Amino acid sequence: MPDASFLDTGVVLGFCFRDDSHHYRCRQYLDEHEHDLFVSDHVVSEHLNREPSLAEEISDGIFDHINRLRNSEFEGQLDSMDTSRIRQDLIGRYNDAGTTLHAFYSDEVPSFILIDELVGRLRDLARDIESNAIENRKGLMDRTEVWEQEAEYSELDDELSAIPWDDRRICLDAHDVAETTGDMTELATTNPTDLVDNGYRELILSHTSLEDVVSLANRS
Amino acid sequence: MPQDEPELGEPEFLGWFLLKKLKEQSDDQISRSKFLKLCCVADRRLLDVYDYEVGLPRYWYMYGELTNEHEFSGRFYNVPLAIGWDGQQYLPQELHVSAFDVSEEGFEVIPDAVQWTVREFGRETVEEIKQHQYEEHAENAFIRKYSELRWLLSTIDLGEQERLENYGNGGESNDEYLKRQLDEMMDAYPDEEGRYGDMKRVYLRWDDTIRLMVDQSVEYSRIAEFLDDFIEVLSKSVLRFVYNQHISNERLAEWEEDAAEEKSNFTSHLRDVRSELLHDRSRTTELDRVSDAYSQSVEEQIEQLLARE
Repeated sequence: MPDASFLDTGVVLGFCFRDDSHHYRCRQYLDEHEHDLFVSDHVVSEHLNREPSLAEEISDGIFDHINRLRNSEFEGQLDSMDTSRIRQDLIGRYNDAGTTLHAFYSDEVPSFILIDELVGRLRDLARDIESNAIENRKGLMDRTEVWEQEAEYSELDDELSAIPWDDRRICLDAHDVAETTGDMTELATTNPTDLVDNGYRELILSHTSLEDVVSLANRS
Repeated sequence: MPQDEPELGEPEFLGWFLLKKLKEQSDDQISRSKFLKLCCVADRRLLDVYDYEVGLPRYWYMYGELTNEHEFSGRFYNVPLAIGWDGQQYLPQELHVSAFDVSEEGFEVIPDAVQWTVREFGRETVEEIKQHQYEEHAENAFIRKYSELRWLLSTIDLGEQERLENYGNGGESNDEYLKRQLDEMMDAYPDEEGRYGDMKRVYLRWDDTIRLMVDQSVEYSRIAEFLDDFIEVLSKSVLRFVYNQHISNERLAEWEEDAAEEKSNFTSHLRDVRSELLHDRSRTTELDRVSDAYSQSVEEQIEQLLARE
């Protein structure tokens, strides 16, 4: 049974930004194991601390939509024809919240709604998205140690060269945790294609000090 | 340069004459802000009434207009420490008018415009001069709207959270009134590419954050402070570039460097303020209802992000 788990970029981003029900396997994995958890420092600096965050990009898309709505001819009570036109005309083509907004209008808006109520609900949606991300991130970071690889593993890097660089870098970081801490360490990933399938898992286990490579991907 | 050629020009003459007339009117100390604003008022008077341009370097900053004193060609004032408040007071140096290179027409109209300025605004406070500037000279409705909101917030009893002085009709609450002002600000935000366009994402995020403050009954003093924070970064990133005259390229380049840093610092500050407010807010069910679509969006974003590596 491993003592430690190194989380790859997909696990970290999925856990922080997806809605609860959609990172079920990640949450279950973290809840059921008492592992020490590690994440790579570059995942934190390049992905979690980036501005704007993924959640902010989506909520910004909702604010952009609200702005278009306020600058449109729609006012007062809206009927389903209005909301259909709003959905068609006022969600920008490159809006990061496009998919979310289309689902909101098609499934969640009643036949009649006041525009102020609609805007209020859109604001709630944007705020919920950010709250969800903040809470998930805090929950994860409270439990994890940010790992900075110091040793060089050029020989191992060559041996794993069949693996794309960004995934290989995670393998090297995880290997460094195992070497430095002496803990039985496994690598958790949402990218089985490049780290588990087609003999990659065996390749990694035969050359590194890792105990296992586990996939948390939702396979269809 | 020959010894007898004056280094001081018409903008400096305007400033010097203004300080002299203000001191003649009253022995009150003249603050930097008041001096730099009144130079702009006199300059606008010259343009509007006399159609005369002295080339005063000025720009829009927050709630009014300021002269850029760093662009003056030489010193015509002294700035000893003020008594009773932090800062410096501005005093005219003892100079003869021959120290200034001013046209014949300039010697006639500049004093007229300055005397009008001193008569109309010499006894006004800086806040009152700002109000005149945004009411009369704001370059667009957005600047006027945010300035009116700031004025309103400064007129209420912050300690008591008293009802806003000019709250709307029909029993509108303070919060409803404030949100209506924010709506009107949003309606007036310039729909332009360029600097306003670049700032729009930050503006819309700030707008939602200040609404969160209103929802959570944050003190009006903090709301006013947060408005100031945004208007300061807007000024440093947009307004002083879009609305200025006779500012040197060297100064504009310095502003440009400053703008990127200010915007980055404000974005971090905004994130901190917003996180704190979101932490104190109860989640609704809106995200749960569109969970599938939202998670699909995030999944696509994560894929794009990882593909860029």
